[in-house]
Amino acid sequence: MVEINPHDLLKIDSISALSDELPSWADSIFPNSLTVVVRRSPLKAGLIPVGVRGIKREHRFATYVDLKDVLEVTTPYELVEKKVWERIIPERQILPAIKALPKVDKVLHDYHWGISGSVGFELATGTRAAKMTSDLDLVWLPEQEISKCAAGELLKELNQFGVHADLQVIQANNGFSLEEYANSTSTIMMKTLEDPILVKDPWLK
Amino acid sequence: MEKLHFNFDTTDAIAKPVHVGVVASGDLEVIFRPTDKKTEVNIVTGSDGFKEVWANVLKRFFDRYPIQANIEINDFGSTPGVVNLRLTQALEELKDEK
Repeated sequence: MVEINPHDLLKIDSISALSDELPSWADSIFPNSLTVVVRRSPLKAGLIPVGVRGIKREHRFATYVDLKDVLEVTTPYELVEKKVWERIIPERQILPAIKALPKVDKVLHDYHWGISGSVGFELATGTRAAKMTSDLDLVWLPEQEISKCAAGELLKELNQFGVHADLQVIQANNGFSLEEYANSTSTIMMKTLEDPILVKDPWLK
Repeated sequence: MEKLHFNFDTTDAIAKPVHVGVVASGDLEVIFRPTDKKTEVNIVTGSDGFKEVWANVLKRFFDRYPIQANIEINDFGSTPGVVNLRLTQALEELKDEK
């Protein structure tokens, strides 16, 4: 049984595997990758919630796919394990979010971390999803809780490479922003499979 | 990028500024500032074409909580669920400071 998690990238065999018809902006871009991103949302009648990315930020489309139509699963963590950024063509390595990865890898050497967002999508599919202005969205599966102070120190280290980097801390099906945690004085937002909630202590006990 | 502007007739003045949210994909930053004028909401969003969705989310919020404030929102592709939560969080912070 394959385990599928939010942020995983799923390669499907054809557009017809998606539950809904795609909007027209997807016509020119989606066939290049045939890859969807697992959304943090409940399964619907056994189908996996996924999102289709376009070039613009407003170009996001939510739909569903059946596991049997998935050819390949790439997790954000595999991109790090395989150091996929080393195989990116030089022309794309000038993007600040991609250029920063070898240095970020050194900082996060002892962490179980992965790459999500546009950079993760580009690394997994070879399509030009990232931009010069793209942030570096990372995910982290922590082994233990860290203090707000340690979180602030870690973010300071990660943000010295010319790109804004944030870690989403994964807690089972939920996730929160390490940056928000580091700066918080009261509640922080926890993204869940349902609507997001406000919590005082985001760590699983 | 799109800039949106809304006005609301509200009655409950706030005493202190509050700032919630983060600058990150799928999230937004919300700043409430005290004002003695009409409630004004200024939004800068990376996702174009959602004016009506914003109008609905904000109307529902001010119908329930008629706070009077100057509100600045910087949006990075958040969902209406996240917007609602951030507005609620800002309200809670206002209460905490009373």
